[in-house]
Amino acid sequence: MHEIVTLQLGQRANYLATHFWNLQESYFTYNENEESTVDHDVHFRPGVGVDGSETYTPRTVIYDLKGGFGTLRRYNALYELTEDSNAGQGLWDGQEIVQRQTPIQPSDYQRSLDLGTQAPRLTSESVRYWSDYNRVFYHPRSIVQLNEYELNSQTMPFEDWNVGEDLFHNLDKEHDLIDRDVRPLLEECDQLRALQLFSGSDDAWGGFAARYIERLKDEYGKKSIWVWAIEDGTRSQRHHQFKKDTNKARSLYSISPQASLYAPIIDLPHKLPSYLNVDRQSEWQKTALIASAIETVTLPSRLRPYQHFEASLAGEDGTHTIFELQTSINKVNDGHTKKSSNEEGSPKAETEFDIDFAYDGEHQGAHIFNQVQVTRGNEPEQEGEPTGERDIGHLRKLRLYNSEAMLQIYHTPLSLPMLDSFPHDMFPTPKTGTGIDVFSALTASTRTAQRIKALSATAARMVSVDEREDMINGLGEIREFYETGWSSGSDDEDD
Amino acid sequence: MSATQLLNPKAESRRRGEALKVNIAAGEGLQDVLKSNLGPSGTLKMLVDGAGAIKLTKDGNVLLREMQIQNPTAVMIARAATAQDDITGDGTTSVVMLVGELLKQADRHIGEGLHPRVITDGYEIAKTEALKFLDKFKLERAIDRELLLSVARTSLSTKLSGALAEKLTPDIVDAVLAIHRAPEKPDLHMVEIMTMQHRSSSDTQLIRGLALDHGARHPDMPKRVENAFILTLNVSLEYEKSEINSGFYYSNAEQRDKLVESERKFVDAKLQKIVELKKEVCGNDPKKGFVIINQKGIDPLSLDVLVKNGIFALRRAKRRNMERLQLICGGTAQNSVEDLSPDVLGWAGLVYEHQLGEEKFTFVEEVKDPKSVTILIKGPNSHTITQVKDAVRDGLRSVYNTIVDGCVIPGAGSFQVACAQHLKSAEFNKSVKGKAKWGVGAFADALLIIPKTLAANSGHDIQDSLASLWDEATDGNVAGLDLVTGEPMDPVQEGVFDSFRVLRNCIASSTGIASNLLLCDELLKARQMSKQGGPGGMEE
Repeated sequence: MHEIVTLQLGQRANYLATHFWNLQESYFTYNENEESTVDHDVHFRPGVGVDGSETYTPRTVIYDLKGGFGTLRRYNALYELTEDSNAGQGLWDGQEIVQRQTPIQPSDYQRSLDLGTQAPRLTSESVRYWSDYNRVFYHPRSIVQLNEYELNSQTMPFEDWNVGEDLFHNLDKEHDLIDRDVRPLLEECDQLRALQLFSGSDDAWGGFAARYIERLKDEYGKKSIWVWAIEDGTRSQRHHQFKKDTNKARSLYSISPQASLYAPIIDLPHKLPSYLNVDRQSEWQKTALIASAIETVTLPSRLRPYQHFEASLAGEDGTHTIFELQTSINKVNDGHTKKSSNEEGSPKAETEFDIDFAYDGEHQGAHIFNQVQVTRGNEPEQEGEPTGERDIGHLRKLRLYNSEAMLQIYHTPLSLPMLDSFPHDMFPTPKTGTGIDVFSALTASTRTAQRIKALSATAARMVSVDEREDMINGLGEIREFYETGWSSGSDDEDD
Repeated sequence: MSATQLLNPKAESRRRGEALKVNIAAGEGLQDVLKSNLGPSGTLKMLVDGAGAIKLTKDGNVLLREMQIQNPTAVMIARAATAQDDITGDGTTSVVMLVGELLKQADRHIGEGLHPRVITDGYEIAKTEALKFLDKFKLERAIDRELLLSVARTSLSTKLSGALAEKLTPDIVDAVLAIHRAPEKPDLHMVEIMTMQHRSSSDTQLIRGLALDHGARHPDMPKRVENAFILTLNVSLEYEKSEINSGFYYSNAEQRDKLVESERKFVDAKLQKIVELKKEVCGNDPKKGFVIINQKGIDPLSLDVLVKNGIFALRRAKRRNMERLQLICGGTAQNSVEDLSPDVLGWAGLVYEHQLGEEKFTFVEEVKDPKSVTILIKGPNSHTITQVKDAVRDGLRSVYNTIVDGCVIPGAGSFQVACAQHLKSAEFNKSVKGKAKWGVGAFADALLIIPKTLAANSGHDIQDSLASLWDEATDGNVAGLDLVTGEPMDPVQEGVFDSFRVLRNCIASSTGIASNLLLCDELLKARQMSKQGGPGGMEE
């Protein structure tokens, strides 16, 4: 019940999502008496393997380019019985020629998973593909390789937004992508809760995702769509940076109005607290940090009992769909976070975070419209019950009358587990137990307006005339939602 | 230092002769890879990727898409060739062969001091003439089942073993004939291709009805319904939680429950209308069944209601199945429950569910006059299924091409030989003035690569076979190569036919791409290549 189906678009998204699935897998309990606080049926589907055994695989569709999957095969141990030695027999009378690509050796980590031995410690060097640290079995239908483009190809790079758009149209014309790839997963859902997308937004995947979401919206109109739009955070040459910024603007313009949650995520922000130890060269390490925040903030959507996560996202009137993802690690115990709020009776929105994935700490001092806070780990319960257990509608009204920002606070004692698929020294050593306490939040604020303003300024220079007007106007309209009444008048000069 | 390097000192460049060599080598390299594929006696390729997954194919198109190609020139040729497949559904290998050969022939002449421009001029003239000749060469015959069978057989026998090709040929032709309503073009999307990992490939069959890849989601639903009324719907029967987007419509728990209740009532009202329709058409007759196929979702509570009323329901059907169902069972798909009446219902004699492991299939069969059909492909493992599926798709396209073109071309290399002869004839050569003649000659020679490779792949002596073909053609006969004997034969008699549009596109696009590559006089790469295998010997 209340299933969430995931779509993973592109290499970077897959790095991130692999961490996400590893974390989900770690919540499994194999003991009958022990019920996990996480409802696994939200993200996993029960099935039957070829040998009749029960399987449990993620409700996800993974897209990547040729060469992006590494050693991950479409048909894994669960769904392919035996290796056929003379595979072609019977279908062809003539000769057979074998063309072998250089085989990729499975990583030591994968081998130890297969053998069930102690896993070797992963390092930035030993992770070559996202499949190298993957701990989950996927259903064959979940794996879709797009053969039209090659990963990191110089001759035909998958960088331009329109390239992704065109690719989607071509594939959709031929195969009806939604029907072929996502629909079988959706058909299994009794009551679909949301579609979650991990996608790159500053390369061609942005265009691909935009058209994909457009079609999803047509087909599954009322369902929530959550988009984690990943942006490359490394600085690059000027013209390159312009192109990326334009792509971001296009993604924002085309996707965010269709989504119920659109969170731009920089991979990785430049301002990081000193207690973190991240290798910026390694996609594996960077996405591990992002995954810890995303996994935390979406945790309420898969907790038992059912939480009204969507209602919290909708906020005041559901117009603010662009959220900033921010997080602090091990901060909750410091107690400075919400102490002051209790005196006034209702908690306040938080503005101080260690890591700002959305805007890298720019545009401070903003007005907050809506915030969803999630804390996990050993936080001593504060006096007064958490808001989740009282009537949300009533509380929201109260806050509205007091002209306070919408705010929803979730707390779960489940701390972030330290998996061996994670970089081992990224986080500071936990104070208690084996988990990390994480405090994450999604915030809609006026910072977004400032951000859109900057993006549309770049886009206005880069985009061709015929596209420009629609896009700049569109971005302007989106921006208006993120401005407070008194400031909106002053921006007229750039129209 | 070239001019471009003055502008961008980092750029690497290869000029004139060198650039040309790189291009020609790439063209020939790609040709070498695909050469052994051509024709019914070519070899099957087994691709093993880095992760050890297997792909079996004889289709040049599949091969080019799946292989990792590093060389930029080769990438260009491969693109042009796969575009050919997108347009016509076949002929990828031929394009690659022809491009490679056009480059090779040009190389010979360039070595003798002919400028590439002169050669491409000759190619252009020859191409125009070849297309004219193709128009004369085509056979305009009444398109009957017999002819289509030959066409489909020719296509399939290049992709699958003889026995299996023979088995599938009638299925494919009948599938297209079933959906074809002259004078409109057949819409191949109305042939559903469904795969099932089960038994062997020879169990692949044509179903005059529809196979859906999902089943009922309620344990008590009937698994088999006879004499069924079919209601095709695009109406959500899920309780939509509108409170998600409207946190402010209620201010206390009681109000929220009310909201939920009224939402539920809304769905119940829709169900009520459907149940009433069922009662109207089926009455109390237990011999009549009622089936709903819905494009939108149906939640468990709604399924409960439907089960209680003896209705078999499928949810989230494919978009295209909505269209197909109307063509198969009749009736009209409904976007709301407002206008339900017995007129909108379709009918099928039998609807049943079949379960295979975790996969469920639903078959809608025994229908009156299906205008859409399903080809159900079976196979013991995933790669054989893919192989058959690719072949079936090509077969369907070849039948489609023939119907749309209204003509066929005698196959087995007969066109290429006849065309080469025509281009070399004194009569045509009179009209070509100057050095472009050599270009025309080179083009004619390049065409012969097709019969040559056919002979080589079947293990015959290339020169012997070609000579006898040539002689036969000189006598004015249409002569194709008999792959078994290596002797000339009459392709029309033997029923070996190619598609007109495949050949037309093949000639046009290979000439285009070969000319472009020949005219390249500078190769330039602006960015630093990654270390692994730079293109065509461009490493410093």
